[in-house]
Amino acid sequence: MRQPERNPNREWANEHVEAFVDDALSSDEKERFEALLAAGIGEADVELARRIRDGLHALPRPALRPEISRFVLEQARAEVRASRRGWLRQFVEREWASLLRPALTMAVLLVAVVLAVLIGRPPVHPQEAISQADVERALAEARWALAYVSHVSRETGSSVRNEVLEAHVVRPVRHALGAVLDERSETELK
Amino acid sequence: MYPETTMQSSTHRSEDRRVGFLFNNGHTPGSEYKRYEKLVLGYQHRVYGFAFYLLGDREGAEDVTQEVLLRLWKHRDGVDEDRVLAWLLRVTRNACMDELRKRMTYHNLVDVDSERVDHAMAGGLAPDVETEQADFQRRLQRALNQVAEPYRSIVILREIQDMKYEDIGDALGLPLNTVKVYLHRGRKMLREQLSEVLERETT
Repeated sequence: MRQPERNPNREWANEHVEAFVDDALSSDEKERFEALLAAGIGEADVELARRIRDGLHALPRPALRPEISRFVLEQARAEVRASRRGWLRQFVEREWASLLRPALTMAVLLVAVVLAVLIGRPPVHPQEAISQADVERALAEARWALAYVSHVSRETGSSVRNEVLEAHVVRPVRHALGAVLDERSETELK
Repeated sequence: MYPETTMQSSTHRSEDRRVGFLFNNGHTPGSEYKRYEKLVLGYQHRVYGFAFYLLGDREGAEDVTQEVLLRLWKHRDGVDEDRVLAWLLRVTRNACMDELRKRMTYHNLVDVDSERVDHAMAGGLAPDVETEQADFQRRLQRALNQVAEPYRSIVILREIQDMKYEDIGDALGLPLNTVKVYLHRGRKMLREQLSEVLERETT
């Protein structure tokens, strides 16, 4: 069986078609390739290589359905949530005896004190406007009150003088003095 | 046919690049979640698109994408801030390879997206031109499913996902020049396959 005749130029061109299409040949190689093209070698290959390159560029670039990325992100989110809960639980277990229990006790006491203070405090009314008439009325009432107090004081003073001093001081003293004077007169007469 | 799958906007590629940070130690779970959410929203379509073209079907790509994004959350402390995308693509590729091994259908993948290709190509062209181009796209995608690794990954990331050579090299652990050479080799494989198909049809 007869082998097809080897053509080194055709083989060389065949090896460099894609590089020629991409303009990636050196200037010498490009010159040689163009000379071969001019001689009718490799024209069809160059045309097909260009079609392939353009066809590849034009192939659709498919996009991932949003459900897939949503699922992936939800998985990661769930892990984040779980790790947060785990961190909190570990922190509580580790710090309960040394830090959290005393802190909680202090907080409860503080809240109780604050509530007690707030509940026992009298209600605070907003300050009302005081008119001049109110002041004068208050002064008149005060004068009446003082006058009454003064009158009552005088009455009380008279009562004390009449009922207490007269009975318990003046009369006994007078009686005692009278007795002393009578005794002295009898002695002198003797 | 996947009518419920929405198409990406043409600006998603630049939006992806704006997300360039990850988790630092000492962050609260809430702030870590916020960063993770940004990354998921920024890279979800890229991861899915890569898985979609590697596996050749929507359900498998969705499963892989979900798994990869959840794995990012689990490994958030171990992922380098500047290499999140590379990490995502590497993990996606490994997951897809595992899936393909499980299926044992690496060379028998069905043509899954023909109607989507039709839809994507429809845009004011004459009906016969539309049909011809859609037909070519279907053949192209079928041929892409036959390309071996890592050439296929490189072709997908560079030509479909429009990624930089450096990022592709970072994701696949390959030097820059190797990425460029492999890209041309992968496209040459496509050309040879399509050439055979077109030649067969012509004859």
